Amino acid sequence: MPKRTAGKSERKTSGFRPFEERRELRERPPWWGRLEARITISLVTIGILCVGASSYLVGLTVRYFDQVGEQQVAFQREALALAEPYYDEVATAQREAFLARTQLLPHELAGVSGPRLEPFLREWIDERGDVVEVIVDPPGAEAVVVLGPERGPGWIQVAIEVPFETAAQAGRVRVTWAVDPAIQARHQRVGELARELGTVEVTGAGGEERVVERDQVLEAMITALGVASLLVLFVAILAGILIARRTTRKVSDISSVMRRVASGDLSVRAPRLGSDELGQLAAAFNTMLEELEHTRRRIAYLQRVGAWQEMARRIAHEIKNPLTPIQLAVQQLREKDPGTDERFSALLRDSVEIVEDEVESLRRMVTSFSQFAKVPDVELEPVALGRVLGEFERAYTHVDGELEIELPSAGPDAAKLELLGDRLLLKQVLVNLVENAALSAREAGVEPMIRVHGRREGERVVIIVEDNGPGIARERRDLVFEPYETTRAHGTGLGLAIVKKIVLDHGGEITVDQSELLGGARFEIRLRAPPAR
Amino acid sequence: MKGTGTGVSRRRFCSLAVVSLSLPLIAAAPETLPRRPAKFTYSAQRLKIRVSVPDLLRETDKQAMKLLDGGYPTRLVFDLGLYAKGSRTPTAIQHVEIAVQWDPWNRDYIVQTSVGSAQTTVRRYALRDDAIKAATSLSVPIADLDQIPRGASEVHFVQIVAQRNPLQSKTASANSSAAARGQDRDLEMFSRWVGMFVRSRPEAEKLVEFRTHPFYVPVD
Repeated sequence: MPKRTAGKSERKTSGFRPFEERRELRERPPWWGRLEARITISLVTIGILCVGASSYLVGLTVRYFDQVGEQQVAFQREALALAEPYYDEVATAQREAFLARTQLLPHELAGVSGPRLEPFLREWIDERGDVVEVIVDPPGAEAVVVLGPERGPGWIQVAIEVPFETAAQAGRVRVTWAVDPAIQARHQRVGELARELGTVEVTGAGGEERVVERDQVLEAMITALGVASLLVLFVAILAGILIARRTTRKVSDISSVMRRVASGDLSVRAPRLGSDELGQLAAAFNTMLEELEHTRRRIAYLQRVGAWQEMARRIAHEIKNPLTPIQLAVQQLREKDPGTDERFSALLRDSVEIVEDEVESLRRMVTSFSQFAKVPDVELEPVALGRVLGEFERAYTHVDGELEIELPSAGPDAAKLELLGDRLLLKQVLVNLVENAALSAREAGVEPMIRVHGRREGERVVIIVEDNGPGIARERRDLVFEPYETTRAHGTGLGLAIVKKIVLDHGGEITVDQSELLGGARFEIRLRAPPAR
Repeated sequence: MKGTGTGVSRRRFCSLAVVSLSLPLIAAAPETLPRRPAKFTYSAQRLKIRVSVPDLLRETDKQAMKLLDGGYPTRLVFDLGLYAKGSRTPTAIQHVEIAVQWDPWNRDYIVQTSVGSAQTTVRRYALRDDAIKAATSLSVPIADLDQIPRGASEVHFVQIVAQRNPLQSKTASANSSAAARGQDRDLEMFSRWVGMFVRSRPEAEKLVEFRTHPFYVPVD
């Protein structure tokens, strides 16, 4: 079976309009009208809509949460604004308290002087616990400095100085108070929060941490989503193109083949497209094309043979009519010979024999033409192959040479070798083939050896006739069935044409090949088997 | 606190490397910046610069004054780079941080200055104006004299990038570990993806960039 590929013509066709005349059928539709483009555009459009809708929803979500965050920031900002003055107020109140407590010290120092002053101040410091240092500079005496317990770095020191007055002179008292630095640290933290409010810490591409404004993050997120959406869209478009191409390639191939068939090129075949529905469609289409081409060839052949038959009938009619008067005329000439002149009589006798031989030759030719022109209509009926071959064997044993007819053996399958055919015409087919084989072998100088046998192949019954003649050259195998095509010296070229016409009238087919068994020609006749009962 | 010579050199090298990397990120090309006057003095060992950046913190800035009087520290960060003319690589750098803050306990303003890795100095001012002037006026050493080529042909200038309350990243989040899985890992990847589109320039409440006029250190 020839290898078939889409769009490639490997068989010559004739009898159909050349498809150049139907150029409009060969042209592909514009790219926007093709299935692939439409599916691609549809998928891309769906992708754009989906990605666009998703991006829009994500954008709305981002902005919604940004608004929520902004509200939270506003609340936090307000809370921080409310908390902000407390530090100053606490510091002021605490300072006032330190002042009041410092102002009490001079009163407590009344009557305390000299060596009692320092123990008194130490006891005074110990009772309080938040004093760093006390300096008492009494009037008229040396200043006394008493330190409180050691404190770590960072403590806030608040120095309060008040006058220390007696009736005669004025002095001063300076108390340094300690404040826990935690309050300042908390306030500074509040300040940091106030500044950082509205900022976000983001991670860069390299993993580095950066603090940026919320607005920048929002812009960056929108940009990032846009870029991501574009990437997704690009992937979607790519996938859409690939899927569309993969899906429509088979349809495109079938469409291409159909367009070539529609334009008249029946030699093209759809490629094998797998086992899915499109593959089955392509296979069915190829089968249909096979049958269409076979039918077209059959019709073309029958038309040609019909034309030849008509011509043969006319020729036979035109030649046959004058043959009898010619033959009678020459017979009269021979009878009217007076016999007085020996030489004239010899000349006349030779001439009459020549004319009679030629007339006889013409008569045989006319008979052949008549047989060819009057091939009867086929009357199909179920008939056993064995019967056809048996009757042929009995009727035509006169054929020279060794004729071997292999009858179907008796057995359970023998009854199945039935075919639909016209028994008489099939015998004529066999006669023509066998006589053709015998004459060919004889002209080639060999003793004819012919084998006729049959078998079943699926729904067909095959009758095989093979011989030991010279065979038929490969390049002439398509021509041997054409009328008046012959290589034999005395052949009319009508025997095989009649055979093929009868076979085609049976709905069968005949092929010729080389016989591997006998070395000559091998004719295979495929006929339909009757439907199963 | 005085360190050993090796320790000081190492710190100087590290700070030079850090600022060399960070300066191009936060500042424009030094040659393109506007000029401002500055005073340069030098001793036997060091080159000092005196420059004022009053627009970094002004009393007319109500928001800044509100934060300052609220007791919050206002951080002024100065990154100084000494450049040879025509060069984009600093010869020496200096990092100065000044914090000015109202102290409601003692009713005065505290100005804390730290130059490089040196110990922080604290000054107190009764008036806000004085405190702001002290905070926005720099008088700091910028380079060791032996680092600088001397002579009239060796022209230099100083690029100054001053920021008020720059945004500082917090410590690295514990969540951003390599052990993140599933949705956390995806979230981290998405965060990095978004981070790629965030402007890399760090933000501050105010940013002032300029360069000084050219100068040279004469050969003694």
